[in-house]
Amino acid sequence: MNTLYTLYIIVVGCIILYLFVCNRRSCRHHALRQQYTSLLISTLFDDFPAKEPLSEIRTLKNRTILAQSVHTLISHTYGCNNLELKQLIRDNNLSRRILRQLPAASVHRKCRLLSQLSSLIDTDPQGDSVLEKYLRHDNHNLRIGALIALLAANPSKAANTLSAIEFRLQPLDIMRIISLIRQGRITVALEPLFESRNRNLLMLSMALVRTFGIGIVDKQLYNIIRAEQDPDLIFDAIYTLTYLKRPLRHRIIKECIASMPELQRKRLCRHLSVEGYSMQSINAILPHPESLYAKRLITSFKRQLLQPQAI
Amino acid sequence: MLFIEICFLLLLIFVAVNTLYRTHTSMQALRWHQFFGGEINHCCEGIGFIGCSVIYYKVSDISEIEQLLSCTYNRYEVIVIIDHTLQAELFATIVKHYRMARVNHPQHTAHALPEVSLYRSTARNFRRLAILDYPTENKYQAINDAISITSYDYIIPLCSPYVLLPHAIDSVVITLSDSSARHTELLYNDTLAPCYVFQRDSLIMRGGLSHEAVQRIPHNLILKSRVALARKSFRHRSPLITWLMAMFIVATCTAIAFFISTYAAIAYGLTFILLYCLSELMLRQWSEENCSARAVLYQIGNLIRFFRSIKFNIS
Repeated sequence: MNTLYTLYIIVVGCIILYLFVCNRRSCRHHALRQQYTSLLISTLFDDFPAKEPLSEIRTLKNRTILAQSVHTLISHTYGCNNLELKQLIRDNNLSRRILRQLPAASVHRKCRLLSQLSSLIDTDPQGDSVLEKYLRHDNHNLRIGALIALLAANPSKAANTLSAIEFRLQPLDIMRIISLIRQGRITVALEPLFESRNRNLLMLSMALVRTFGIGIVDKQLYNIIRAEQDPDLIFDAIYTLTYLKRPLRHRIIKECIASMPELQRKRLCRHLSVEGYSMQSINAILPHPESLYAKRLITSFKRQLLQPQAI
Repeated sequence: MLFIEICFLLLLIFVAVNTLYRTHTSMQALRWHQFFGGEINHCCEGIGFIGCSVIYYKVSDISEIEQLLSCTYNRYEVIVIIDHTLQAELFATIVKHYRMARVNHPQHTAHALPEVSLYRSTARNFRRLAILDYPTENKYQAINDAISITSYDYIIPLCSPYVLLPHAIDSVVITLSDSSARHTELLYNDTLAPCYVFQRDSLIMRGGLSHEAVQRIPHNLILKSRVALARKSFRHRSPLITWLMAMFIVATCTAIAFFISTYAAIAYGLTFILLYCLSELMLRQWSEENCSARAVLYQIGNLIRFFRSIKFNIS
């Protein structure tokens, strides 16, 4: 029995030791990442940058940390497309190293590496074929990671890349693409997106309208409500109109709302109340029970005048 | 004696393996969450039009409201339930600090009370805050009344001393925006502290919030989140009885271990150190603060409750 206990003690002891080692290593990497990030900021934005040898990093681990720092910097800045940064990425051969690490990595690490790859301005030309392979992967997160990296690598072909994908984009995936657009890493023209019959492109176009508050697309939104069969697209189009604070008295919108399930109508009703639609506008588009419900909600935003003794 | 030794060893192995598994899954969830959080940090729009309303029952300090309002997600609101007759000073402080004004309260529930009043903030930066002055001890009735004025589709009922973690809303929204979670009626997590996210309309259809609210939801509509959503706040002193209980349990286990053999005692000691390390690791990774010995001991207790049922309770 003592042998079993000894074995248990050794195993647990090793685990505790491993936890300590991991903790120390993680602290060291964290400190190094912070150091690299501040050096990068100094190199890019200061008039007198610190003369530290960022281009002469020798170990593989340190280069991985440098790639992480570049990713942190790029994902927190707008339009960071500096020649010095390009040179630094080229000197350290970062994109090729990431591509080499990809096959052996776990799913989570692959996603992280793909995300880092999307931040590297100087993407390896051989990388496109590798990314296209991941675009057909079974795992959705990997597919999206590859898509984002491909979009960042070829910003001019963004609309073509998006229209070629065969899987449905989730709201989170659309947000990730919007994030790229907000950072100025890719540019897409809005009108061709609306003209397309591709579901993903239409969803992205409506998310763009909501994010940037583009108020000249009412006609296109009405067209989507009129022509599309996909309830998600119609729902998105109606919500986009509400984001733009547009009147919803159009006959097609009324018909769509009338055909919605009751719970979805209630949800829309709450949304309209929050967006500041008046009781009159809500009465015009929603049936009686829901408009009563909206009335209660809107009333709860109005100051109570009947009890002047209250605060 | 041999039987006791075997049982004790098996118990230690079970505790160690289970705790390691829980920590591993939790850390994995944290890594995914950090990844997605970093990917969407430039977006200011609600993901998939999902919104969350937090209902906070029995606030004990204004800092708890401050913490709840620190969330940056745009489709989010906080409804605080307070009884001004019991907490007059705190109520006055909140009303003054957030410039609350009394608004029309649409009472349409069967048990609506005439003395209930609703306040909303007139300050532009606190528009997402509402206060429900509810002079009753019936907590579920108060929360159900608060649900009637919520504006979003998901309800997070919480009570003091539990507070939401800073990333909680983002994590809830990321999980629920996935098409596979479209019909989810309940999302819950108990990594650091129990936290339940109910779908508003289905909750109302199933009879509102009560201690049986979770039991009424079919299992296929319940989703367990691996990401920690809430933690316990340790600003107030624990009652002496809690400390005495904890010390008694530790002392009893140590005595049993020494009674069995010296090896068993060493194994027990190492298992406790392992539990302490894992608990501290989890607390540090998730909340970056509150790693006091009390918090770690609470987390140890949380980690070794293996066979717990999902039961919603506001205490």
